Amino acid sequence: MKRSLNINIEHIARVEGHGSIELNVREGSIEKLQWNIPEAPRFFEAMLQGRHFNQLQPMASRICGICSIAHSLAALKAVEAALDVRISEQTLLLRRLALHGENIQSHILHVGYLAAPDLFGSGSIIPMLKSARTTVTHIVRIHRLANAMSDLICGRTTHPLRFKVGGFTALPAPEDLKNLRKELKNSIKTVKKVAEAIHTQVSQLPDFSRETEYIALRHDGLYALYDGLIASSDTGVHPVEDYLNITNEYVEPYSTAKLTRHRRESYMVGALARFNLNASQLGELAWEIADLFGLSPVNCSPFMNTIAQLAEIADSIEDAIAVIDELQARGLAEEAVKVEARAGRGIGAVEAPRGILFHDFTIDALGNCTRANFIIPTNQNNANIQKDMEAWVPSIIDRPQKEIELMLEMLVRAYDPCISCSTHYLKIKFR
Amino acid sequence: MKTTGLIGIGNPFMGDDGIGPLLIERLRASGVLDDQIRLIDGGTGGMSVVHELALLDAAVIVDAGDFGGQPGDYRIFSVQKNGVFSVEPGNADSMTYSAAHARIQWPFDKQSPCGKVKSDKSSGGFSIHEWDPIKTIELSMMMDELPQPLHIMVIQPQAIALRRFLSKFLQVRLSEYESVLQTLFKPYCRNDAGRR
Repeated sequence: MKRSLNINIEHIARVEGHGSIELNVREGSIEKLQWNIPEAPRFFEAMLQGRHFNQLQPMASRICGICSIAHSLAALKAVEAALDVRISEQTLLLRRLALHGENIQSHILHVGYLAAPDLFGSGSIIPMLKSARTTVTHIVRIHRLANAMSDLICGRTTHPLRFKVGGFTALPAPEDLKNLRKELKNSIKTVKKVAEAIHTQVSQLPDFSRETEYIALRHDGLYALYDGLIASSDTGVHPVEDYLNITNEYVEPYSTAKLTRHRRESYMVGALARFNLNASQLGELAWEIADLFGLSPVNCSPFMNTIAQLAEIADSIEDAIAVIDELQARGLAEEAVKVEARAGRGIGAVEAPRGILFHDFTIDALGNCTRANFIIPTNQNNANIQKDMEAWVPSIIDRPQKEIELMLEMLVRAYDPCISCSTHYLKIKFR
Repeated sequence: MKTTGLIGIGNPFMGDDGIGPLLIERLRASGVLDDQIRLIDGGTGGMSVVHELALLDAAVIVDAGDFGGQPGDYRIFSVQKNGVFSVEPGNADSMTYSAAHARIQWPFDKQSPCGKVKSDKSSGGFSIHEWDPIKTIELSMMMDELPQPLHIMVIQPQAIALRRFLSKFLQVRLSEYESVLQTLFKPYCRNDAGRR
């Protein structure tokens, strides 16, 4: 007899993102398979209208408690583009450093606290302390260092205080930068140990691949996080100003979050997309980790996103050290920034930890925002998660229900969306 | 002198849940505590609290929690290095500490008012968005980073709901809570403690 199955993985309120999965199978055929985002609209774009350009970054930062630095930088870049403000080399270096801090912090949260428990067969990081205590300690130490890095450059861990249009309101003390460099250097061996520990469990990563389009920023000289053009694995390089033609947002009645598509039905953003498009620009440390896992471009397994994040942690540490060296060689100095209101439109794109992020502001002659648009990474990955499920479920449909649930949750978690926490806690109902 | 800190946990947008951060704000403004004592707004908690605890030799956490008392009542747990909790005053037969984001049941008797505390929070894990004080303490303990002593002051809320003010039950006892905290910190204050 062919199998019938109803899986309803409900969303849970209160966490930053809400996602749910519904799978109905009747006599072996899939009747419904849907990845839903029922999260309530937050109206940030409307809230920013009428606000002065100096208020846009602090408000936009609040979109995300994890990626507040990326949102802040995208907002600043959009304002600066609209007002034709050029930033100094020092500001550019400090912003790169801030973004590296967030990248390390966000990635280690996902790799260590959310994904690793799946690999170690553990419900959370707490039981992992019994089975893999040293690894957990290493994970927490890296997270702590990344927080300290954000504190130093941004004034606090989340929602930066020291950013402003055109520059910084305060600079890190040279002695603190020196100490940070030392700590980053020391953390390299810790990151390698975490990678080695994760590698011992790599067989737990499901074997699933699906070719898709990958989109990320691309920069001529650097592994792009702060700056670059839009690159697509299908269509090549595009100016940031073309972002609407790349993202093509659309809505579905079942989802309060928008979805996006470009050349295909869906595309992927995030660490794996960046790796697939820009891997040749990664440093030695990142490659050491990628090689350990046999990760090379183009890799089409969404589960390898977690491994790409590990490689990016190493790269962010390596590049952060290089940035500090450059700042120390130049010497830090207070800089006067002249910013004047004028009418204009600006688009800011950065790579948030979860993928390419766009902010688009129109500002009037008085310096007030008349229109705002945001396209965030999680929305861009939604359609790809759905398409992955559609491709994968037929091959796992005969497995035990518990296993299917876990596999589907692992798939969602692999994308590291803001809803990964809620998917970790989903209640499953079988009818 | 030990590095000592007070961590206030809660969400000021959720009525009585905001008691922790509010007490931090008031103590910061009044300056009644020794200025060596770090006053930390722990927000809605999570991993950041683990990192804060790691920097402290002695600490007090203030949080709203349902232990079946009257709104505004409070209990003080002491957490030992091995994870065993004791309660002061210890005159209850059982207690449920149900913080805004976690519920903890802890049976104990009058003769032995201490025991292991387990969270029965419905969420299965630990994440950046979820505050479960017991899991945080457990993680901190297993990493050998638990401050000693560590007290948790739990204040019974009247309601945890979307509003920016405390209920009258907690409002009228704010000075009392501050006095209790001053007493708890007394061993760690200098003789000239207090700036005002």
